[in-house]
Amino acid sequence: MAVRGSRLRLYLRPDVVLINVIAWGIALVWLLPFIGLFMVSVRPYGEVIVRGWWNIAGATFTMDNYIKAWGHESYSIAQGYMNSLIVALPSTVIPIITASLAAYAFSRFSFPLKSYLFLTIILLMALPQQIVVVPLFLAMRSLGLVNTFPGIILVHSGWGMAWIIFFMKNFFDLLPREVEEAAKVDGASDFKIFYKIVLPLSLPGILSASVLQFTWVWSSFFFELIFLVDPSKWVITQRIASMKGEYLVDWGLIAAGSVFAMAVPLLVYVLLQKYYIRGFMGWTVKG
Amino acid sequence: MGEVFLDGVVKRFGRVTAVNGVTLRIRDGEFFVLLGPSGCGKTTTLRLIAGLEFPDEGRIYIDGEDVTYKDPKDRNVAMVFQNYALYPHMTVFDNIAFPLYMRRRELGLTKEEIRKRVVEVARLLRIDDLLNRKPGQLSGGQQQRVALARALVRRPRVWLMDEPLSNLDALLRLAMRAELKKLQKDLGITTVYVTHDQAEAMSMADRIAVMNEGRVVQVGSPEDVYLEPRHVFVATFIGAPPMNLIECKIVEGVGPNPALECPGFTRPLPGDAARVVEARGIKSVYLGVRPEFIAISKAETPGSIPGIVYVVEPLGSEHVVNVNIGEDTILKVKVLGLREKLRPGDKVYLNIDWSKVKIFDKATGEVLA
Repeated sequence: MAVRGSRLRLYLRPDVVLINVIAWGIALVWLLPFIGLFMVSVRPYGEVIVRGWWNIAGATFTMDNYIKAWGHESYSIAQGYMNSLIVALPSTVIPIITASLAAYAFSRFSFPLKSYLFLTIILLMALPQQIVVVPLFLAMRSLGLVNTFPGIILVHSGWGMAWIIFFMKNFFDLLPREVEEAAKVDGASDFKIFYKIVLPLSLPGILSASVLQFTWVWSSFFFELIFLVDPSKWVITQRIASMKGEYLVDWGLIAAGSVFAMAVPLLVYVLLQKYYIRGFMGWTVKG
Repeated sequence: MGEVFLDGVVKRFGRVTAVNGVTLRIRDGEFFVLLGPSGCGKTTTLRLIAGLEFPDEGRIYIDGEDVTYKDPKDRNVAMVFQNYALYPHMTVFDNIAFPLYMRRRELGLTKEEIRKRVVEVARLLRIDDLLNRKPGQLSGGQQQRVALARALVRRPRVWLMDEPLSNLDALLRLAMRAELKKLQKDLGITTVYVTHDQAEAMSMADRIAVMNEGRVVQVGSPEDVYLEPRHVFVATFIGAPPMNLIECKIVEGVGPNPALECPGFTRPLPGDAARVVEARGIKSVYLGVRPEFIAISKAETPGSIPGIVYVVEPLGSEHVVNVNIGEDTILKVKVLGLREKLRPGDKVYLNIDWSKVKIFDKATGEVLA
């Protein structure tokens, strides 16, 4: 009883109440568009148009929009899922592996022009995609990689490497060097140290970088617009945009497609949330 | 089976010379302590022996084998780090087994033999009930033992320790000192131990190398460096409280030898010191005397030095009495059990045991007699 009483007193403290009100307020502002989108996706279009999505008195709920979007005759979400996965998975795995190795080198070894190289990478991070897209397109065209999955995977992998190197270098910098030195004295080679000690210790960092990269590639639209021309190869974001007809915009259909598109990164985040948060907190001694 | 020889080793980091021409011969089976203030190059010296740094000049030999530019894994040395550097994602068992797994092929060990050796060393260090835990679940003392076990398990030629006790609380540290020393003696592994704690060095070492500014100032047994310091630095770094230094002038004496003119008293120089002083034309010196070699009394005796009690520091079994002997020169006197109650301002007389006095050149800090 006493514990419950003191907990209640804690909940009713003015500062706790204030913090909660502000936090819930911000959360609601963030959530409101999503709630709107969700309501539009699960109700008949006519009903939403006439009465507004926020009016739920006497609302009809239906999965029609989802069924229609999933099997859409020209822009099926099912195929979009497949294409997005084909693009997003390798575009996450490839840069994570290569950039982690590069980041470890930047963090631990000294080599000529190291700081200039790193500076270049940071500068690359600041470039907007629109600036590089024309030369990139010309390069990809001469390689014969326009309108191919390997092409778009290459573009995303290259684009992701800059920030992943930056992110992982910062993470490796936080790992205590003594642990690696201990392994060195214990007889481990550089590669074994990376593989047996550094990699397991950096798992939170690697996973949070993976979540971010996957989410960005999954929601990317611009590069796909340029490099994937053939509608059969379109990823989910392109398909949603194309569902908007010339004379009629079926917002219900688009909303359902958007919920489909959102579901995957959301799921990835929920599954890896523990590591994701630890990755941003950095490395801690307590294992 | 574990003699380490450093021959004129120099290590620079940019413009800083961390280790400056260090030559040391560490004998087989010896507990050798590198002692000095922070930044004196002791840890760098240890890392050079480990192979975590390579020297810019000089050579390093282990058992006569030139290992100067060999990687740590090819030196058969083991190291205990200040913060233990355990592998946080591995269990205690895997931590201890790691060095064996890394050399499994070389040592020709089976999985079962590795398990046996890990359990054996864990039992020796009384951590055999912790083998399934992760380092994060252990106390500081337990982590320390795991680090020691990991360094022991592969029976290295040399055991290197970088302030391994400094992260433990005071009581545990005292207990571990004795235990570590006993372990080292039982196993007979050559040990190089780095510390800045002079009491730790005195209590554990067979021999101590006192380092300052990248150089070895003196090498000797704990008694040697305590009673026969070769430099003002050693005299003041070792001992708590440190040796008293009284600044004295060399003046013409009554007899053939010159005399020492010190605050509060004048005294003829002993013969051997007098010869060096005259040969080198030295004009001023430090007179060094350990606090326990001064007797304090309220009664004047022939040759005693008068002074005023400045402050009394009780330290349990003993007292350190600070006495002002004039010209703002304060001598620390260590007394076992005060016979008379002393208060600040009391007039007292000091009797120095002149056979234990050291005389240092003020300019170079080197001992003259």
